Amino acid sequence: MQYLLLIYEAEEIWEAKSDDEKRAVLADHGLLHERLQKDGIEYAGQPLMPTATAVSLRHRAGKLQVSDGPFAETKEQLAGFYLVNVDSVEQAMEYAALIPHVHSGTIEVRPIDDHSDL
Amino acid sequence: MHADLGPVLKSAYPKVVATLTRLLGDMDLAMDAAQDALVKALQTWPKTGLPDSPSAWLVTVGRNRAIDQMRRAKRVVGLDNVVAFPGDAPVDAVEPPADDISLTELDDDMLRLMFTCCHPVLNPTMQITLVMKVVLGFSVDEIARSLLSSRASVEKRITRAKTALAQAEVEYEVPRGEEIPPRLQSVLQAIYLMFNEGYTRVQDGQLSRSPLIDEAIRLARMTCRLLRRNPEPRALLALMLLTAARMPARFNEQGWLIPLTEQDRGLWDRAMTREGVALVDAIYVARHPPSAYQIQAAISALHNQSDSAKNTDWQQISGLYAKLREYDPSPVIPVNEAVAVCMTGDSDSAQQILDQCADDAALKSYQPYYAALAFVAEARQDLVAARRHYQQAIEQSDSPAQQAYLEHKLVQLG
Repeated sequence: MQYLLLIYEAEEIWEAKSDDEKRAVLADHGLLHERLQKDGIEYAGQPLMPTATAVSLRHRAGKLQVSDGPFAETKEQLAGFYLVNVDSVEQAMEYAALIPHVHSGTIEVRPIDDHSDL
Repeated sequence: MHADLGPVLKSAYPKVVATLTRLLGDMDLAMDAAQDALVKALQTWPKTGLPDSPSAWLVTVGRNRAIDQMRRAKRVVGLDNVVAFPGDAPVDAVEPPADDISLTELDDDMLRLMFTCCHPVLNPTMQITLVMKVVLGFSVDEIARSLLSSRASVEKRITRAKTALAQAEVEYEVPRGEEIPPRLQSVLQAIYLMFNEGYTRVQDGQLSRSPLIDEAIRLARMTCRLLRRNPEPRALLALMLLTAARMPARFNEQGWLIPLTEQDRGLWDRAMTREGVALVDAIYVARHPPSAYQIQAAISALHNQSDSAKNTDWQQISGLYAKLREYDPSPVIPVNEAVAVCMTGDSDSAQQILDQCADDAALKSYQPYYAALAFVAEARQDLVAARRHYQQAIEQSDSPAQQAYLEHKLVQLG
């Protein structure tokens, strides 16, 4: 079963960190990578640039519209993700809890739908 | 310990004044209170070490001092303006509770104060002056120097601006909707001024990295979040990130100031470049009408993405400078355009562009103008003119690091 572990965090939190503090968070990600490799888990993961660099596409009324965004009026933004191939939701949660941003943001654990029944 | 406190206090000051203005309801009172708090910090921190949040510490101490003084002076009217605060904290509390003033609250206060200082009842010069004094904590001398005006007129401008704000009964808040655009340009200009001030100080060799640069970038990020649909804060953020990315390569080992074309690009900050370029791309694909900040950011993005001066797309940069002239009448732009055109190999056109602005009085004491003349003359193999212009550039430069580089060029010409 594949799960997407979505990292939500207020962008101000990352911006306010010093270079040393940022390196410490990256080191914690490094530990998680080591753990996933040691456990033989298939995974992928990437950080995302701030939402200010994003654009949103919509096709409406026969026209492709491009706008700035996303504009969700929420405190926390999507900051990065892991995709893990594990046996159970409990196992997915175990890795989610090792993502360092669990201390300052929110990790959403979301099963991948492979549409195998369609 | 004392030596370390300067930058901390300098970067905390704007936030402290902003929050105290909201709490005390009076800009002058807030500035006095902030000063008191700074003095207290200089007495206390060397003994206790830095508090977890220096800004929150300073706000609490400043607020308590101001309230205490108002009580002593029996300024009952002033007390009415004070927003509710928890209990009667002792005035001399060494470690005030930091948790009642949050990081975001301090940020919001600073933006609020910026927008208040940029109220349309003030003209743009008054807005910038007030921002520099109240928000950024510059001295009157520093303001006079960076705005090319006299001490006396800066003082007069500050007084008149404060009176105008008081008479118009301007609310201390971030404006909404239609009130934003007329103030936004001034807010962005103030942020960019702050960035440039930090950039210049580094150039003077006073600092390796100025807190003003980080603070300007932080303020731009906050403004981006406040105005997500407006591309201008993002364009300015991109421009500043891309400029700051090149800072590590501005000086060589001898301490000479090295121009962009000759910098060691391996030293450029890649994270800042990545984000700056991504911002420029996002603004471009969303097809916003162009603006001066967007064009300048696009020029910077072309530089930062190129692995050498030779491989840079000078054709496109020349075109962007020509476009920028429509938005900004400053004679500084054709000077840059001429260098870009010269880099495409067309030194005749470059010379023409410089000839066209030869009568501009503002360029007579502008060092980069003579450096550009020298650069183009050298490309045209006119070594006599090149020598003369490098000499003029040296005379107009007040930076030893820059003079060292120009002298080196002069020696190279033989």
